[in-house]
Amino acid sequence: MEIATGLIALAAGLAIAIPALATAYAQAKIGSSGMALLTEKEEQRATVLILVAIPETMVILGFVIAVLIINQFGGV
Amino acid sequence: MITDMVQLNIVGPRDSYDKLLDVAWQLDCLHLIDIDDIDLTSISIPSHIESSFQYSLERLEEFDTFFNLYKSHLSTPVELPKQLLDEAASLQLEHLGEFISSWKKEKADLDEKIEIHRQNEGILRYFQDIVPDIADGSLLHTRGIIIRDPNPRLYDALRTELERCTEGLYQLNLYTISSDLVLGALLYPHQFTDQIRVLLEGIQISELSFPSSIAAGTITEKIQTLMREIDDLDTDKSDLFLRLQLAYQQYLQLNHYHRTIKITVEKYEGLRKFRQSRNFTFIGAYAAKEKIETIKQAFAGLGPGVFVYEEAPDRRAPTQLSNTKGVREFQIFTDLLPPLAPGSIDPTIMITIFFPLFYGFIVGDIAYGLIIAGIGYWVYHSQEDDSALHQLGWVYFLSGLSSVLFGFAFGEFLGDLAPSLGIHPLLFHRGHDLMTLLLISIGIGIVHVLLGIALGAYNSWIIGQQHGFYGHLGMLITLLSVIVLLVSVLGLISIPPIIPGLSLIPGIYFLIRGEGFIGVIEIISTIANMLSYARLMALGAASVILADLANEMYTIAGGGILGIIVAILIHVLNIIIAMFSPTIHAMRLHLVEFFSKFVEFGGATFTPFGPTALQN
Repeated sequence: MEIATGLIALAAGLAIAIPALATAYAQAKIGSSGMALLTEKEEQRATVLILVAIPETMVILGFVIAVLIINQFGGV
Repeated sequence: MITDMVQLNIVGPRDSYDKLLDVAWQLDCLHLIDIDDIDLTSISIPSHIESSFQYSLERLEEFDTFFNLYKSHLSTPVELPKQLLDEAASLQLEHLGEFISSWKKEKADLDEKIEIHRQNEGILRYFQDIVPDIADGSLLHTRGIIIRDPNPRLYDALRTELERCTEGLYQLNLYTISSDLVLGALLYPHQFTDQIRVLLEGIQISELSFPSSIAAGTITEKIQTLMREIDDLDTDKSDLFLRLQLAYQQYLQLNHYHRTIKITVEKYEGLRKFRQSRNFTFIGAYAAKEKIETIKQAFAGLGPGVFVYEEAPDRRAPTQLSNTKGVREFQIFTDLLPPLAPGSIDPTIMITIFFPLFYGFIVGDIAYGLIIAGIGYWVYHSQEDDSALHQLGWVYFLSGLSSVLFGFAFGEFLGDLAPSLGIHPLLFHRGHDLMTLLLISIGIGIVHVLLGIALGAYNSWIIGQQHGFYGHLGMLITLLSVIVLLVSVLGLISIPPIIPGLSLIPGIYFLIRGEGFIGVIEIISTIANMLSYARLMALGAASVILADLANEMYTIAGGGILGIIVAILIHVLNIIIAMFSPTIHAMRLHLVEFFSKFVEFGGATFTPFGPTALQN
């Protein structure tokens, strides 16, 4: 029973951790490229802002999955 | 909404082009277009406008950069001369250029002298405390030394050599001025002077030396002389800035001239879009429908030979947004988009309705909402109209109010402090029922995206785009069928699954007819768009959990003043996050998920020919 609880917690943690790493990696790439773009074309700031925010979908959906895991299996 | 445009053709006698230019410029409401006609020739800009003014513009821009550096030292007169400067302006331009070059050199020299004097003064003050006199010529057994790039090995080597040279009869005091500068006071018997000098030269340690003006005298006298000289140099510097102030007055006059030149050049640039035949001058332009009468009257004033006639605007017509106060402030978001295509729906009204709702749904706290609305209200009233901050102030004011309403719905006041104030959730507590929050978020996504698709279908119908209409209609039917089918299979409604299953057929048929097979693939991405609204739940949950944590930290910190400070700090952090993160995500949901369903881009921004465009 205790192992099962631990595995559920681990699964929920991984559901957030892995997308968070992927989001961080993507945002780092997009952010640095975006800054380079802005030095030459400042009018593109809205596009850059949106592009930087796009990978956040991954970690947000990861959070949703984590909540679902805990809700469905954790008895929370 | 998008302003209704008309296309205008203005025709006048060939030699009246300068009068037409004047009227068009003064009207300040015509968007000039190129007329593509091989029988018409373009008009070139007068050479004195194009070339001779160019030099003046470039020089004045250089001066502009220079005077901006010293803006804090200079005062601006209240009134600038109204009249345009004459030919003498070009002469003044040269004089000012020469003055700036010599002024910069003079200032650099003065700054350097002052810096050296201050450095010497500092050094002398260090020695004043330990050596009564080091340089009046009679006490040769005392030397001041300067060690640059010091290190412990150098000190050891110096002390070893001094021990050897003076047979141990020396005293060395070192004073660290900075990481790369150490001063030393060295005392030794008179007979070792030569050996010490050779030693210091050998290990590249320099002796302290001063300008000739303070070579003689005691340290105290040297310091007094230095301070007098520093005072004199400061006076010289004040004089220098007085002369700069005079030059600045001259520059401001020239800058006024600069602006006049820019207006003239900009105005004559308009001629590039004028066209001429053997007998006539032609102008093509777009203008707002409501301005037609004003435009006709203005050109009629030029005489009977000038005609203005209108045509229906084509797909090249520029777009101009015109919204009422309250909605116009939300154009800060639509202005971020590429120009809208003619005939597109203006999405500003949509973002005015939904942005505050999404924002409020995420923040959902009475106290946070009141603070954000207060900040927004203050910014809105303290900034100039039409400035970006003024617009943002209004956006945050409405969003803050929306947060207050959702705060009552979720029963949150600084997180979970609401029950102690007698406030209970009107709907449910977000932190305790995340699944409900998730379902509502996705439900909002479904409604929002379907609304976008319905608007897209309506817009395609209005502008007569048959494929677009069928595509949007097909997507709408398909998605509705999929959703009803899903709900039916889950047993949440009593409709037999066969009914939504059958309605998928016309949906997919229209979709393929409108957008081809690529439209079927679009179904997946549109469903992903709907699921993307789960971020409303995720951000909202993060906000409420952080607020609860702040209150919990009060207890963990042991209550009292420390607990209050810790709790306030975390709440402030949460409010700062609430000012940024929900804004970006609510904006993204509009710009990516919602607008892509019905807004058409690809037009041109309406740019009136006249002084307004220059101001912008």
